[in-house]
Amino acid sequence: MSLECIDVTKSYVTMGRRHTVFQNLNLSLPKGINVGLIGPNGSGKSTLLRLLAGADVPDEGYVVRNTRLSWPLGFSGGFSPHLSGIANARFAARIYNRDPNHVAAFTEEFSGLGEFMKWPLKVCSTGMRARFAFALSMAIDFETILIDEILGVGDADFRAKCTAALDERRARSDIILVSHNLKDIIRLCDRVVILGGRQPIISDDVVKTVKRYNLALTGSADGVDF
Amino acid sequence: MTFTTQPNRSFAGALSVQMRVIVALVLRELVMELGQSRAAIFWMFFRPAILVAMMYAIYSLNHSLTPQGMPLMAFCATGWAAYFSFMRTMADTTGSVKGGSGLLMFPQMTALDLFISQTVTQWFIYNFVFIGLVGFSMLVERSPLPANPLQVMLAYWACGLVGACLALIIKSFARIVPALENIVMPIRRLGHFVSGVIVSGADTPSFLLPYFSWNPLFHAIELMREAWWPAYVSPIADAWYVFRCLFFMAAIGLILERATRRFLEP
Repeated sequence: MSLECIDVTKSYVTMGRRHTVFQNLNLSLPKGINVGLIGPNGSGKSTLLRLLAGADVPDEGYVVRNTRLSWPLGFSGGFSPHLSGIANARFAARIYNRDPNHVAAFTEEFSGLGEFMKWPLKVCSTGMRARFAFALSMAIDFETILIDEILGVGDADFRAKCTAALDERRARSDIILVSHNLKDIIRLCDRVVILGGRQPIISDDVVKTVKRYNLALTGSADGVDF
Repeated sequence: MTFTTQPNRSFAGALSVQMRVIVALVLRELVMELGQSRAAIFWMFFRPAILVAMMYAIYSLNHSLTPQGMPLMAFCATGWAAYFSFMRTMADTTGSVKGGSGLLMFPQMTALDLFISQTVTQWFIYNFVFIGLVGFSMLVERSPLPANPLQVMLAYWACGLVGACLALIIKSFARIVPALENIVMPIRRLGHFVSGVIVSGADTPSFLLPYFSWNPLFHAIELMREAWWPAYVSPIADAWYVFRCLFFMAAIGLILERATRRFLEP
C-alpha cells in the first residue's frame, strides 16, 4: 500500500464544541491508482489530505505512508513571503534531497516568472505565487502527488501547460485529487472516494459513482460531462 | 489509545530525513533573519549591547555594586549575553510552530523539527553575539582571556538550552491551554533578578541563596564566571545540577510534545 489510514479518528473543537470529522476511518490507497476524493463541504476532504500529508495528526489510529509524498500541490503556505522564489525553491529541494540549483532553474523556466523569481514572494501577485507553487510542485519527482482544488491557476496558456505537465506526470506518479470539479475527477482518477458518511464509499467505477453522487447532491447530472 | 502519524521507515532513515529537514530549516531561518538586510546584523548585536551598556553605566555610578574580582564590563557581558541567549531562545522557539505552521504541509516536517531548527538557529546567532560582546569588553577593559574557555562555552550553551527546554514545555502545554503562553513574559522578567545577571552569586544576600539556587540559569552563569576568572569562587555554581535540570526538562518537554501533538491547531 502506498498510503493507509487505519482506524483514524479526527475531531476539532470549534466554538467550544467537539466536531468529529472521522470516526475509525479505514482507507487504503494502493500504488499505481489515481484517487479522487469528493464530498460535500465539511465532509473532511481537506482534513484527510492534511492527515495523509502529515500536516495534521489523528486523535487515534495510524496513517502509514510508504511513498515519496508531495505537499498539497499549489499550497503556498509553506513558502516564506519574505524569501525570493529561488530561495523558496532551494528550500523545498533540500527538504526532498534534490539538487537545489536544478529545482530552482526548472521552477523558473516552467513558471515563466523570469526576474520575479529573484524577488520576495510577497511582492508577487497571487497569480504569480500560484504559478510558482505549481511549477515547484512539478520540479520534484514525487511518487504520489496531493492536489487540493488547484487545477486552474494562471491564464489560459499556463493552465494548458499545467494540464499537460500533470498528464505527463501521471504516467510516473499517482495523484490524490480533492476537487468539487467532477469533470477533473472523471478525467484524472481511476478510483473515487466519497466522504461524508460514517465510512467512505470507495468505487473504481468512477463515472457511474460520480453521476450518482451528483444526482444525490443536486438532483440532476447536469454539469458533469459523461 | 492514541497513535501518531509516521511514515513507515527505519529509525536511521527517519533520523536522516529529520537531519535534512533541520538543516534546510536552519539555512532558511538564517537567510530570513540575517540575509535580508545588513541592519539585521546590526540589530542582532545592538539589543544585547544596549543592555550591557546600561548595566555598565549603573555599576559605574554606584561603585558599591562592583562585583568581586571581575572586570566590570566583562561581568555585565557574561551575565547579560547569557541571559539574552536564554531569553531570545525561549521567546523565538515558543513562537516557532505558530509562525511556521504552513511548513507542516511538507510531509517530512514535524512541529519538533521547527522547534529544533529554531533552537539551532538561535544558537548560531547568539554564539556570534556572545563572542562579539565579550571580545569587545575584553578589548575595552584589557581583561584576561578565559581560564577555561570550554567551560565558559558549555555554560553559555546551557543557558540557551534551558530557554529551549522551558519553551518546549510551555509550548506543549499551551496546545491544550493557549493562555499558558502568557507565562513566558513573567518568567523572562523574573529571571533578570534571580539568575545572577544583576548581582553575582557572591554578592547575593545569603538568605536569598537557597531560594535562588533552584534556578539552573543562576548556576550556569556562575559557572561561566568561575571559568573565566579563577579568582572568583561562586557559592552555588554546580555543573551537575545544571546537567540534571537540562536532562529532566528536555525529557519532560519531549514527552509533552509527543503527547500534545494532536492538539496542534491546523
